[in-house]
Amino acid sequence: MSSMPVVIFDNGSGYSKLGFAGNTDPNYIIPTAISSRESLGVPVSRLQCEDLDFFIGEDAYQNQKTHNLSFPIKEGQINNWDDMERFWERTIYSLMSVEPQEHVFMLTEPPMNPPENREQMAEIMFETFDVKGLYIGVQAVLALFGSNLYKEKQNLTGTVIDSGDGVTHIIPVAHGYVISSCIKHIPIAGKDITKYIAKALKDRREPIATEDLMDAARVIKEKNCYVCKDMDKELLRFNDKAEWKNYEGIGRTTGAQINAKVGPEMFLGPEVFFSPGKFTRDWDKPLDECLDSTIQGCPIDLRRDLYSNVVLSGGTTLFKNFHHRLQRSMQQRVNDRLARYAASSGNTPKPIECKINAYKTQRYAVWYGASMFAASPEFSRVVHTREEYLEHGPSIARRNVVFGSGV
Amino acid sequence: MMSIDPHHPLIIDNISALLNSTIDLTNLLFKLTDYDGIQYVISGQNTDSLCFTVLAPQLASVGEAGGYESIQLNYPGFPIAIDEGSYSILIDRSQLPDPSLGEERKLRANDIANKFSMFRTHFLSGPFIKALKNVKSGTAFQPKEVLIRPNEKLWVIPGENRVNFIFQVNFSDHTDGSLSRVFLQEFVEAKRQVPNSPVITFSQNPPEAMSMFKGATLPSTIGFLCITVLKEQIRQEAETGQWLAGLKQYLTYHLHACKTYLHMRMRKKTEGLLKVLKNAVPDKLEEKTFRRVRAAKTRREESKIVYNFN
Ligand SMILES: Nc1ncnc2c1ncn2[C@@H]1O[C@H](COP(=O)(O)OP(=O)(O)O)[C@@H](O)[C@H]1O
Repeated sequence: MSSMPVVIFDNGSGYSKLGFAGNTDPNYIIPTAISSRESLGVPVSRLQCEDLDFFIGEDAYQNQKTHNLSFPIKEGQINNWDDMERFWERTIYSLMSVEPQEHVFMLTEPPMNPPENREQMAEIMFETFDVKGLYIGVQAVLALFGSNLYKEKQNLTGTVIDSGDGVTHIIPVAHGYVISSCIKHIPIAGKDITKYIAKALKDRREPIATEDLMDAARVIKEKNCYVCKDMDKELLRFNDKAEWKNYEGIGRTTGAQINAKVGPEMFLGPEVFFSPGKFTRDWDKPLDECLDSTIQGCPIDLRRDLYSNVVLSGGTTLFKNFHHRLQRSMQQRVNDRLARYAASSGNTPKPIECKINAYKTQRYAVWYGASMFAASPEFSRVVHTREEYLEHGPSIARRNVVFGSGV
Repeated sequence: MMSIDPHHPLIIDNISALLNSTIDLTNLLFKLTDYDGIQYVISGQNTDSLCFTVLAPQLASVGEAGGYESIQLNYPGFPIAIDEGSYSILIDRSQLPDPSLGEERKLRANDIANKFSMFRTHFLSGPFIKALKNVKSGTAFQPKEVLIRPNEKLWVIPGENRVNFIFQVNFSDHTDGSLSRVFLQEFVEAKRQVPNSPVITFSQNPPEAMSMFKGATLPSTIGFLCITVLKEQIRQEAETGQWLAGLKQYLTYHLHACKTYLHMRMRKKTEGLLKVLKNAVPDKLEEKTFRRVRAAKTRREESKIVYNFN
């Protein structure tokens, strides 16, 4: 039965990407949300099987009137194991429709995931679902692995910018190892942009019910937002009402028809990455500066490689022209520094090339990398089998075999 | 969700998307898996037709016991090709209503997709339906041994005005095995509460009825579940057959859900115990007040001494 495909779950704080290995697209992208009968963590009785009365994904939102909606993953890390276990149960049985005993599973983890979490994941997968094998991959490394398939030169050295719903990370990776001391967290991500847009809509008194506001803002963000070249010029352009766009949709909670106008927030939202000082008080370093300082903090012999292979991953990097703008300001920054160096020392250094890679699978780059990795022959070498688990217990998940030595 | 939906959601998605589109199907190929070790390969034959191939180790055994008949009954008008170890059905997109009849074509396509998503259930329920039908009409038939899952067998044994279905229950995991024993005993209990339900027995040893079959005692077998259906209990063969075919999945699903629930309770308990432990740690605060009281007392006494001196 070794021909059964590997099942890959990439559970992010916003969305879960689920599917079979070997495909280029995940079979499902659903919100990582669960709504259940429990209130405040008091388990319900099991007499009438109330514990099975819960919904996940889109259905969770639709049933939030009668059930309590919660999000089991916060900032990339699982914070409610009860909910997560049930989320997996439902995804296995009603979405993927697989028999867990027959399949090898692959999960992903954020950088700096404590080993206890990894053990807990293994424990749930092996104890509850009796899976045949398990591999827990590091998201950044998988994203890098996936990007290799678009390139001629294969390497697992590069910088990954992973921006999802809750948090943005800049993660340098050297030869398949994450350089954990150099990871940078930026507290700006998809949710903040959604909030910003929602606030703009509310301040202008667009006719949207409060319950629907966040959702409408999210849809507007995903459909209309883009990154501009120059903020001030773009603002002037929007003085002309003809530039404004219309948004029509149906509220997810109330079901009412929504008709609203969308204006400058279309580019002001994503702009928060490039001039955060103007938008929030928590953070004032633009993304390119963070990226630059992260790479400058890495070992000197890696820096050139890190500059030349920056990979974007996650939904929030999808804004139109995001990578163009990042590329331009990064190159500018690096060139400026080299010019300064040349002026002070008198000799001209070799120019450094910055390359920001954007691929069509960027939205689910981690999943795509995982899918390609699971289908590669190397996978069978690194996967933890059930026999190993029964022999050694959950501690097998502590140690992760690094792949990519063959690349 | 009390029971598992017999529809395979991915088959619905994929087939309806393909049938509703007009893309060239020639080089298309993708694979899906289902419960009971069944795999599907959906491949394009030419621009307009799809080949829905089923691969499973138990294919021939179930097929001959009634699976093939059930498929022919449920998929009329679709050409079928049986090969060793695989079973293919052709879907011709050009036979759908013309694209100009948008709505109608869509309905028909979704209908087909829905039908194929039930393939496993239709196929595996074949042996059950056949036996039930035979009992109902009073036709005699031979006892049969069917390989229903890659490592589990089913025995269909006719009796007087009744039929016995004996399932071999196997679990690769020990915990699952023990839990399933409890579960299956529960089935026997439940009989008392449901009037006119079939007789269900669960035993660790092969039941009497299947004495003509030898070699059934695989070492890892948890037990044998015997469901006896009487002639007058048979009303809707198709529906009953579907339930029987999904029995093992139902069992596994509930086992896993039950374990999840136990884990939730365990986590809750640990949290409670941790709280107790935290409370048991002696408080620093107490010591402080004690010292302050003592200090005040000492001070008072000292001042008394000073006072006495004066
Ligand atoms: N086309 C898009 N443009 C901009 N943002 C998007 C787009 N698609 C999704 N997003 C946003 O990306 C975020 C989810 O990204 P994802 O990488 O799935 O996060 P996570 O890995 O944390 O779950 C959400 O905030 C979503 O609104």
